[in-house]
Amino acid sequence: MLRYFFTGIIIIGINIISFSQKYTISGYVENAESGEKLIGAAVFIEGDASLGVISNTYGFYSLTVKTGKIKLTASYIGFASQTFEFDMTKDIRFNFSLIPANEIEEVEIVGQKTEAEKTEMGKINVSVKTIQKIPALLGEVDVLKAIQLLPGIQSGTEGTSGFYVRGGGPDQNLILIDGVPVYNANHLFGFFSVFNADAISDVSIIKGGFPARYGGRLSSVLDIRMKEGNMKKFRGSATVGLISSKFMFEGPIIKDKTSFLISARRTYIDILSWPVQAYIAKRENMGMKSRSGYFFWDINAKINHKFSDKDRIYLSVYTGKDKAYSNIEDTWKTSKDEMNSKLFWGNITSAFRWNRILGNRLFANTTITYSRYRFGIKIQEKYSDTNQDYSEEYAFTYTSGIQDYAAKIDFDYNPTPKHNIKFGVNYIYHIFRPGVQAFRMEEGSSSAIDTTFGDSNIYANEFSAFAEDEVSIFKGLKANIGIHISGFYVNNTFYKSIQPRITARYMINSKWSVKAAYTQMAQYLHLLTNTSIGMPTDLWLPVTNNIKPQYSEQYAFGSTYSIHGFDFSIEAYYKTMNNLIEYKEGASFFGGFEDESGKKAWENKIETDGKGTSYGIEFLLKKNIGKTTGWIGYTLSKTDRQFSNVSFGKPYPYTYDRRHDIGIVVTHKFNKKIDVAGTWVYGTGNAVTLGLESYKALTGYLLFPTDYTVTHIEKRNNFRMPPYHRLDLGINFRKQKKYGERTWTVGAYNVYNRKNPFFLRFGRDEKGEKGLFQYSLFPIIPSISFRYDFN
Amino acid sequence: MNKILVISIFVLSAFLFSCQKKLDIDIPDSEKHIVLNGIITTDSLIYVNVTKSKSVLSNEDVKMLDDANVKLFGNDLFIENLTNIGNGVFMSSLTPEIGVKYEVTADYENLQSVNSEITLKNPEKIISIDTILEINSYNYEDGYDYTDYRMKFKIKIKDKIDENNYYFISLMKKETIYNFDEQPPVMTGYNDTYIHFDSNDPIFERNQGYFSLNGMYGLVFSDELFNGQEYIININSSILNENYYNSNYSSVTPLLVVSLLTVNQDIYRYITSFNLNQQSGDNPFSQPVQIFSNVEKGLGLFSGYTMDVDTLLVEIEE
Repeated sequence: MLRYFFTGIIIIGINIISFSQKYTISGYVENAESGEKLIGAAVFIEGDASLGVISNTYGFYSLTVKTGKIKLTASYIGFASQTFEFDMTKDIRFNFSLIPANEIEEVEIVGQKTEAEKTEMGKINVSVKTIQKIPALLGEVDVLKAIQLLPGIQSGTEGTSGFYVRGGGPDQNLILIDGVPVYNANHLFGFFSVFNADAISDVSIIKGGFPARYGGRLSSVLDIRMKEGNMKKFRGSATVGLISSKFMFEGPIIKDKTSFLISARRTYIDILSWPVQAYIAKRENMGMKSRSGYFFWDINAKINHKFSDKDRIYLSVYTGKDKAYSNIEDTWKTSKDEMNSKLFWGNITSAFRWNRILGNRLFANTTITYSRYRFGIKIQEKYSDTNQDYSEEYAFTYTSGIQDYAAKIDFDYNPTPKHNIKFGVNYIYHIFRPGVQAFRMEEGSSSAIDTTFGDSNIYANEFSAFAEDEVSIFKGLKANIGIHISGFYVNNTFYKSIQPRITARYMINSKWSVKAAYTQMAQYLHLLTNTSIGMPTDLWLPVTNNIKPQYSEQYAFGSTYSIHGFDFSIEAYYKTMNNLIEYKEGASFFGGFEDESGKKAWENKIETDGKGTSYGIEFLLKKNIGKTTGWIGYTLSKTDRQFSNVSFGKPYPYTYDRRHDIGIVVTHKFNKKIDVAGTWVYGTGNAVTLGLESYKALTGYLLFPTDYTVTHIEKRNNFRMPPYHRLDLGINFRKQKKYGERTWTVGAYNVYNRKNPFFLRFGRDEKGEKGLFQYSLFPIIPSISFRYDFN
Repeated sequence: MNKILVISIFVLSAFLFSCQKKLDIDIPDSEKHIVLNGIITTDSLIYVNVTKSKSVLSNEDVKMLDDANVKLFGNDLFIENLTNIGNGVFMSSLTPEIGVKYEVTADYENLQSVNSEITLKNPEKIISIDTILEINSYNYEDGYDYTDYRMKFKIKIKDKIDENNYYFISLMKKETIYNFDEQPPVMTGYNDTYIHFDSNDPIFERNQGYFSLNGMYGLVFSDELFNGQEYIININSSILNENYYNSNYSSVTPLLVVSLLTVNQDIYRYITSFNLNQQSGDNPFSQPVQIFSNVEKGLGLFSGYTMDVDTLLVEIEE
C-alpha cells in the first residue's frame, strides 16, 4: 500500500512542478453582517465550477488562473452568492462579503458546491441554525445530541451526549473546539454536552476518509469552531430555560479591527432546591443544617484582532465545571460535627492563533493551545467538643485528569487551481494524572496520618506532521492524498506511526459522483471506563511500554447524487481496530497500587489486546435550503469486540452494536413568526449481558449439594434490549421587538411517551412472580424557554 | 467511592425514571442444558452431580437428573456406568489415579449429551512452614478484655518448572472438645473449623472471596509470579481469640492443618470467574461476568486436585 502511495505522491509532485504559473486572486470570504469568516464557502470561476476552491477553516481562499478576464463567484449556504469580474493581469487580493439570505428577500442560492462535487467522504456539516431549532431534552440545545441523529453516529445511553462512530468507542472521537481537544465533553453525567450553541459558528464531523491534517483518534473528528465576535456592531442574546439560563454578547472593540464574544451558562437546579431542603429540615425538626445540590456552568470567550489584511490573531477560551456537593453541620450541646463533600470535574481549553497570509498562495496558521480536564472528590469531616476540649478531623481527596500544552503550525498552499496543498507540524506535551488519593487524619493535637498514594504523574510527548494535496487528476477525478506521521514518547518508550490517507471522487455527471477512501489511524491515548454512560471518573491514559497504541484501518466506498437542493449519499465502510483496552472483569477505577515491577495500578486493571471489527452501510438524504430543511439517515451496521480474557476469548457484540439506526430531522418555516422542528429516532436495542438460564453451582460438599444457583451467561452482550424510538417536537414563536427579536420555544421530548429501555434487571412483580423488568428514564417531557436576540 | 457515583446516578434516576415495565421473554425448553459438577481426588471415589439448568425466571427447584445415563472412561476406554445414589449424585466404584485421563459423559432424554475430562497431576509439596505468633490484648472501657492470637505463616513451596500450575490453599483448625462438667474433663471429640486468613501476597487476586472446594474453604492462586521457583506464601490469621473460649473447648493447643491443593487450571478459572460473577452483583451499571465451564455442550465443572497437607501444633502459654 505504501509503495503505491509514494508513487502517487511523486506523480503529483511532478504535476505541480510542471504547471505554468499565472496570476493569483486570494482573500477571505466574510459574513457581511458580522465580519466573521465563512468556513467552507465555495469560490469558483463562473462557467467552470471545477476551477474553484473552498475557503479554509479560517475563511481564506486562493485561486491561481490564467491571464485574462474571469468572473469569480463566492457562495455559501444561507447567504446570497456574489459574482465579480476581474482582469487577471496581476495578483489580486479580494475579500467577499456575503449577505445572509434572511436579510434579503427569499433568493435561490445558486452555485453552491454540491455534496456530489466535494472530494470529502464521511464528512457532514450541520448548520448551527438547524441545531438550534432541533427540539431538545428540557429545551437545552445540544450540539452532540444533534450529531447523534446523523447516519453512522449512534447515541449511547438514553439522554446522554456520548456518541459512537462506526463502531468506535467514545474515546476514539477527537472533539475539538477551535482546534483544541476537549477530553470530557459532558455535563451532568453526560445528559448535556459542554458546548453552548450560542457561541458556535460551525460544526462538522468526519467519520471516515480522514484528511491527513487530522490524527490522534481512530473513529471521528468533531470539529467545532467558535464564533469570532461581530466586527460591525454589538449584538447578543439571553435565554431563560427550565434548568439553565445563558447569555451571549459580542461586538466590536475597534470596528472592523477587533471584536469579542462572551457567552455563559449556569444551571439552577441546586438553587431552586435550597428552599425545599430548608423546609424538610425544619419540618423534620432535625438538629442539623444541610445543603446539597448540583450545578454546572460554562463560559466561552473569544477575542480577535486584525492587524492588517495579512495578519490576524485570535484568543479563545472555554472553561466549565460541574459540581455536586453536600454540606452538613450537626450541632448537639457542646459538640459539633461538620461534614463537607464534593464531586467536581471540568475542562479548560484555550487557544491563541495567528493567521498570516504569506504571499498570495500561502496561508499560515500558528496555534498555541492549552487544555486541561480534572476530576476530583473531596470529603472532609471535622468533629469538636468544646466541653471536652477534643477535636478530630479527617480529609480524603481523589484527583485525576489530563493536561496538554500544544503548539502547531500549518500551511495552505494553492499553487494552481488543480492543487490545494496543506502541510504542518504539531507538538503536544501531555501530563497525565491517573488517580492520586490523599488521606489526612488528625486527632486532638497530634497529627496521626497524612499520606498520599496512588499513581504518579506521567509525562509524554506527542508530535505529528502531515502533508495532503487535494488534486484534480483529470476531468471528473479528484483526490485528496496525504500522509500523517506521528510519534509518542513516554517513559523511555517511543512509538511511531506512518498513516497514508487517500480519498478520491469521480464525477459521473454534474450531479452524480462516486467516492472511495482508505485511511489508517493511530491513537496514543486510551480512555479507561467501566460504565455505559459518560462518567467523570473515566480516565484518559497514555500508551506505556505495556500498553500499545490503538490502530485502525478503514475502507469506504460511496456515491452521492445532488439535485434541486437535495443531496443523497450512500456509503459503505469496513473498519478494523487493534490494541483496544478495557477494564478487567470486575475491576474498578478506584484503588490499587503500583506493583514491584513499576507497573501502575491502572495497568494491572486492564485488558490490552482488544480487537474490533465494524462494517456497515449508511444512507443520507439531506436538504439544506428552502423553507423545509433536514435529513433522513439510515445505518445498517455490525460491530464486535474480542479480548483474550473477556468472554473466554470469543468475539462478542459491542454494547453499541446497532443493526438498524434511523434519524429523521425536519424543520419547516411557515413564516417569519413561526417555525417548527421535529426529530424521530429509531435504533436496535443495545446489547447487554444477561443470564437467561440458572443452574446449580459447584460449591460446598458434592455429596451434600446445596441449592445455590448461579446464572449462565452465554456470552457477553448476549441479549438485546427492546428497540429505542422517540419523537421530539418543537415550535418557535418569533416576534420582532424594538431592540431585537424575542422567541418563545415550546417543545416536547418523547412526544408519544415511549418507555425506552435504560437498563434491565431481574426482579419480582407485585404478585411475587419473577420477571425481567425494564427501567425507563424519560417519559414525555415538555419544555419551554424564552430567548431574546438583541440586534 | 464507586458507590458514591452509583448512588448519585440512582438519586438522579429517582427523579427521572418514568416507570418500570415487565418484559415478556420466553426461553424455549430445548435450550436447557445438562449441568455436570464433580471434583475428584485420589483419596476418594469419583462423585458427580447431574442436574438440569432452568429458566432464570423459573420458580421451580433445580431438577436432579437421577435417571441420567452417566458413564466413566479412563484413558478413552469405558470403565463403568456410574451409580446413582440419589439427589442427582452418581458415584464410581474406583478411586482415581494420577496421570489417567478420566472422562465423564452424561445423557438425559432430549437434552444434548455432555462430557468433560480431567487428568490429575502429582501434588506439589509444602517444603516448610514458619510461623510467628503475635498476642495482642485489648482492654475496653466497659471492662471487656479481649486477647487476639494472630499467627503469621510463611509457607514455602516449590513450583514445577516449564508448566503453568494452579493451587488452592486452605487453613483448618482442629480443636479438641472436652466436657468440663466432668472432673477430670473428658475428651468428647474434635471440632474442625476452616479459618479465614488474609494476605497482601500478590499471588492472590485482590478482593478474592473464599471458595468452598469440596467443603474446604480457601483461596486459589496461580504460579504466574514464581513459575518454576521456590516461593514463600505469606498469610496471616487470627487463630484464636477469647470469643472462642468455651467451657467445652480446649482453647490452648489447637492443631492447625495447612492444605496445599494442586488444582487443575479449570478449577482456577471457575473459582476466579465465580468470584467475579458474585461481586458484580446487582449493580445494573456493572458488566456481569460469565462463570467458566469445562463441560462440552453443557454447564458446570468436572475437574480435580491432588493435595499435600502439613500440620502444626500451636503451643500457647496461658
